[in-house]
Parts: sequence; C-alpha cells; structure tokens
Amino acid sequence: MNKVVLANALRFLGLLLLQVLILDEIELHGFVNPYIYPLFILLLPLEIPHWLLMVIGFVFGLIIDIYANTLGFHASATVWLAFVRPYLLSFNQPRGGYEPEHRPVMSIMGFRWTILYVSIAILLHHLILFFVEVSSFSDFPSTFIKIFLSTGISIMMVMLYQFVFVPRN
Amino acid sequence: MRNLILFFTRYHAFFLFLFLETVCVVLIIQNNHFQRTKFMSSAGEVTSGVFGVRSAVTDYFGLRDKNADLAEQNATLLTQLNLLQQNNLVAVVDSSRGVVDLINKVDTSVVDSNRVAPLYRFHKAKVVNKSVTRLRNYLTIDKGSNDGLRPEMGVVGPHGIIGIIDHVSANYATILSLLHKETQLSAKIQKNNYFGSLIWNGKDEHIAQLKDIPNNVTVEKGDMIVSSGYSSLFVEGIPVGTVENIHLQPGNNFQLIDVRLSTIFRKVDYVYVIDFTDQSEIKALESQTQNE
Repeated sequence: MNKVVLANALRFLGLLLLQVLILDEIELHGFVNPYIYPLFILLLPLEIPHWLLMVIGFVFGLIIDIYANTLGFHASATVWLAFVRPYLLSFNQPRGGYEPEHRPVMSIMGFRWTILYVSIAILLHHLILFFVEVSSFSDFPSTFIKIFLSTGISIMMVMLYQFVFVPRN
Repeated sequence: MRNLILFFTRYHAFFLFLFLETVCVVLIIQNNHFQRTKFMSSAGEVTSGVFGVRSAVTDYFGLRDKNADLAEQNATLLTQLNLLQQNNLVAVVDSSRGVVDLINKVDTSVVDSNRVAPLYRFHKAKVVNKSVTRLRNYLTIDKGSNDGLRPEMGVVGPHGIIGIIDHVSANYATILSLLHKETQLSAKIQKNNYFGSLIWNGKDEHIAQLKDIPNNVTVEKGDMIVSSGYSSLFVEGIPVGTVENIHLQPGNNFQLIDVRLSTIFRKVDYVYVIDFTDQSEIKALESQTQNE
C-alpha cells in the first residue's frame, strides 16, 4: 500500500514539474497547449474510492492552477475528469471484468484498451478546460480547433509516457 | 428523513462533484476580479522559486541575442540620457550598480520649490516567468515589496507598455499583462489626442484593440498609439503600438481600431516598474471627490 502511495506521490511531482517547466512553454501559433498532467488521475489505482479520486483531482488541479495563475480553471477540469473516470472504466471494461492485479497502465491492459481510455479521457478533460477558459461559446470554431489540436498532441505525449515509463512489479 | 439520507449517500459522488465544481467556479469568478485572493498566485515564494531556478538555467541559451538587445537598449538610453540632461532631469547613480533611477526634478522654478521628492522612479526588474498564449497572460518579475513595489503600479519594457502589477510578495511580483482579457488601459492617438480604452480580445499576441474612438475621428494605418497619462499608472506618451486596421462598426458611433503592439511579449526579458510617487495622493483625492 505504501509503495503505491509513494509511486503516485513521485508521479504527482514529476508530472507537475514536466507540465509547468516544459509543456507550458510549448506553443504553436497559440493553438496548441498540450497537457500531460491529467495522466496522473488516469494512472491512480482502479480500486480508489470515487470521492477520494475527486478530492485528489481537485487538489492536483488547484496546484497546476497556482503555477499557471489560473485559479479554478484546471481544477474544474480535473474534478470533472475524476468524476467521469469510473464510468469511463466500466464503459471500457475488458471482457470478464477487471481482475485484482489489473492497473490502468498500458503494460498490463494492452495498447488498445489504453489508447481508448486515454483518448476519451483527454478529450473530455480538454473540452471542459478550454471552454471554461474562454468562458463563453462566442468563439466556437477557434475554440474547437484549439481543443482538437491540443487533444491530439496531449494524447501522443501521454502514450509516449506509457511507452517510456513501464512500471515494474 | 431516512430516505433523504439514503438519497444523499447513494449519490454522494455526484454531490461531491457538484460541490467541488462550485468551489472552482467561485475561484474563477474571484480570480477574474482585480483584487483576488492574495495567497494563491505565482508570486508565492515557493512557486516563484521554482521559476527562478528555471530562469537561471534557461538564461544561458539566449545570451547572444540578449547581448545584442542590451547593447541596442544601451544606445537608446544614452541618447535619452543626453536628452534628459538638457531637460532638467537627473540620473541617480549608484557606484556599484550604475544608473538606478531617473528622477524628474520638474522645473523647480515653476512648481513648489520645496519639493524634493521625484515624480517618477523606475525600478528595473527581470522577468522570471511569463505566458503569452493564454487568454489571461501574466509575467512574474524578481522584484517585490522589499524593493518598494506595490500592486497597481504600471510596468513598461524597452519598447512600450507591458502591464500592471497584480500581486506582490516580498521578493517577487506578478504582472497582469496587456495580453489579458480583463486588462483595460487608457490610451490615445498621438497625433490628435483622442483617447479610448485599450483592450485585448485574446486572439493575436501582437494585436490589441482600441475602442471608444468616435467615428468622425480620422485614423490612419501607422498612427502611433501612446499611453494617455489619465490613469496615474503610466507616464503620458509611452508607446503602445501603431494602428494596424480600422473597423467601422455598423450601428455604432465608435470605431474599433486594431493596434499592432510595439512590445513583442514573447521576447520581454527586462522591464521597468514605474513608481509614481503621487499616485496615492491622487487616488485619495479622487475617491474623496466621488464620495461627495
């Protein structure tokens, strides 16, 4: 149990620094703002209680917000992601359900399961984040282009992370 | 009652979700307000510390460009110094740090001869963090209340206006950039002194919008837009940009002018904070007048 907490705490810190120090600097014509930090919520253990998931999501999002000077924006998106994760997991359930040794990582669940899980989750997260950021539906087309381009790049980075950091058992 | 409790425990996740999202919305709304919750921003010592370390590393990568830029700034400053000396302005020189302050002595024969305090002081600061691609962009600088900075001071760069100080901690301060959806600034057309509000619509980091200029005022592409000096944040006449495009809005008595900003925010390294010593006096006077 302690090992799990420690691993997640390290990932928390690692993803935070990666996001704040490197990815927040990436920008292509103002249209692509990739975000890798939602991966932290996606990789939390399957058996985590729903309420705890949301509280962790809230705190994590708030910390990202403090660095980005956008109090509330990222937190609202991460809380939303934490809220939908259990539904997403049951929607994406492997045949025969989840086993006790299952963890939401690619090395265990396989590529197809992971890409579906990651893609839907990142898209849902970005949808909320970008629409909350513009706070209106007035500039629909440009917001949509932003969402789809950023979602594409974010998914690629999250998958790359899964290839590079293969957890040992 | 039992049913109600059952109902809440059955859907506790959904209610927690609603609660947390409400907190987020409250934070966002408060955050947009100019006087925000003071304790959570990147002016915090820990957060700024992280950016300070990054800045220390990444500074090495652009040294060549920065040297060129600084040399150019030096040249401009020398010219200005020359000009200032002719105009009764004095530079305060610290033997170890070079020029630290420019003091506007004001023509003492005209104004109160007892006045020794300068009208404006410029504090040099280094940008340790910034964003340009968001809808609400900020800069963080390495000077804070220890250096005499306060919220709502104007900030200029070598090429023009940068923004307004938002939060101040002991050693750092955050600046509400011109590139921020809620920033508003009084600016005027240099050639005819008509003034309006400068805003930013969040689309292009090089283009801001000047509104409230009446339709009958002729504006041409390339006209200089400068600060109006009505806000007590900025000295009058600091460059903002040049007119890029003019939109006549149907059914509206005011035209909307696209302004190409003279500052390229992506490249800003050093800024100058304007300490307008009479700001509090003017503010107090104005609020008194409004209260009557």
